[in-house]
Amino acid sequence: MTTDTDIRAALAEAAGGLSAAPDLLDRVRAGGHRRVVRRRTFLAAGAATVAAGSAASVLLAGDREPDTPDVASRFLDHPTRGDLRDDKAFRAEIREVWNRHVAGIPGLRGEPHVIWAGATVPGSRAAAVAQRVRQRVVSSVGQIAYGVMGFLEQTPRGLEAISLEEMTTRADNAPAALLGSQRTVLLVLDDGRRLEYSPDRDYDARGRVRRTFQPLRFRSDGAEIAVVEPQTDGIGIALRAGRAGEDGRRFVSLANFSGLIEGRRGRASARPLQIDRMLPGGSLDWPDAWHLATHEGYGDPYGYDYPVGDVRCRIRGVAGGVRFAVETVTLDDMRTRLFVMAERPEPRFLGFVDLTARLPVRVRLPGGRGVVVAAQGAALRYRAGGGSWLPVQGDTALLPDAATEVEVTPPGGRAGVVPLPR
Amino acid sequence: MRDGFDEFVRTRSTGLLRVAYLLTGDRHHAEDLLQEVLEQMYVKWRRIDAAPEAYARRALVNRATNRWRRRGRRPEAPLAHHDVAQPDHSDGVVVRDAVLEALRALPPKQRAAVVLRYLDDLPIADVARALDCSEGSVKSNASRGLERLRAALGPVPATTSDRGDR
Repeated sequence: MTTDTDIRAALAEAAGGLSAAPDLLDRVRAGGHRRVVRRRTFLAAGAATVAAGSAASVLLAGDREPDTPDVASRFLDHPTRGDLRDDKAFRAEIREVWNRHVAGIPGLRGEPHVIWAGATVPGSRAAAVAQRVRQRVVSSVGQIAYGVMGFLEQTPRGLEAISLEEMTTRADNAPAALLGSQRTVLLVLDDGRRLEYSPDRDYDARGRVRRTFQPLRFRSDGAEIAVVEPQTDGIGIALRAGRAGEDGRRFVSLANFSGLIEGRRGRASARPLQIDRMLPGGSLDWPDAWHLATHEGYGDPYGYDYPVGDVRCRIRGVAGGVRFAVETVTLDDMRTRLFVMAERPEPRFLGFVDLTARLPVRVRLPGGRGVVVAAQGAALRYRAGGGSWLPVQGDTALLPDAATEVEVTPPGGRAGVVPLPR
Repeated sequence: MRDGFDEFVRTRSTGLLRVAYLLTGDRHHAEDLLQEVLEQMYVKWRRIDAAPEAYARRALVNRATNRWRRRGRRPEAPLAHHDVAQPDHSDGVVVRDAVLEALRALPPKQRAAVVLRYLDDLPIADVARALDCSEGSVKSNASRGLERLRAALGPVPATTSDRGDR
């Protein structure tokens, strides 16, 4: 098999037996329609969106048939808890707000069930509500009539719904929400998964994420309320389940995560650094191990990171006959860690970098193999030991090891000289 | 309101499913991936109906790549466990397994470049748009991917198909 035609034939042969299912269009239309409803609900609610539970489901045409089992969830099946469970006025208000919140969802069935209603911090209240839906979905236990669940919180404007999530049997729903104008109140409901809590993330000397989890000790009303540092500019807290869910993960969702990140989209759009370069000589096949994301410990698997995909730097190349990769990682705290891999795909932590600096990336490679520099969009020149300035092509380069200084001219800015590390 | 959407799904879903299959190496994941992408397109149809196929390809590649990256952190059953339900030693199955195995060994960008260029016969510029990279990068990825595929597929016997070049 040596010609392009052979390869084309082999690919066609491998995939040729497949054809789309006859009911694909129906399923897509049903699913698409559901997404539209979600969006409308989201727009109407201002901050809430219907999110799928951890096990995905597919909406089926038609209402629940008599023999279709109902969704099973402890949130639907247990009596109302919380210190305000007997407060009739509050429960009536909860139902009124909830009914407005779910008005766009077809097939709602019965009365909403108040899972929990209680005081959180002095002067504030919150609630969690669930309701069955007549329509059928496919879940991990077969066809069921599904449900929806959401959190409500007291705000200066009154009681507001802040989340909406679909419930299916064996799917783990978000049992927690961050409340308050500065998101300083964490409300967690006991979902039976032996939840653990971490107040913040830290980094060890190798640049890996370090977290300490403590088991949550739920109160007698099945809730735990913690006052936390403001989480509006970045979510540092994390929750973890004591046992893995249906998807094999211990991740615990935050019900109003979508609403939280909606409030700070502007921050990520600043695009302080977005460099992905393969330097000349580096165009070899790169095993995945040279990508930091494939190494354990550098991400935050239980944290609630807004994907800062536009804050990244990855520079790869070959120096002195060996591969190197320089990469940054930025989590929700917006602290950017800088790593280098040289010769072997083993990350070495170089510290935190200031992405707003004139020359944020300046990494001297081991073994005298040169200096990697990058400043997005800037014009660069370099020199060695006070000699003449030499031109650099582009905003990213591997400079000779003798280089000692770089002149950086940012777009529309003035030139400045930055010394290189020894 | 969504003029042309049904027609697009009816006429293009099989082609897109085949692309998704070679990108993921798993029929069930490919079907899930395609349905997700089409549902997304249903919502955005008015904004993308000028170039729906390009949108679909790009979305498939992005989602398949992300899935592959996630999988890289967690062991997963070999492809054969998903897709070969019954022992079957026909030439077609041998070719399919060999191709899936070879594609799986490629980095995601090379795999996507090869699939779009040689299964879908897309021009370099369209592949570049789908992969969000330069045409030069497509050429190098496709060429390297092709080279590795050739090496991996060398021993695969010719099938019984009537292609004259075999």
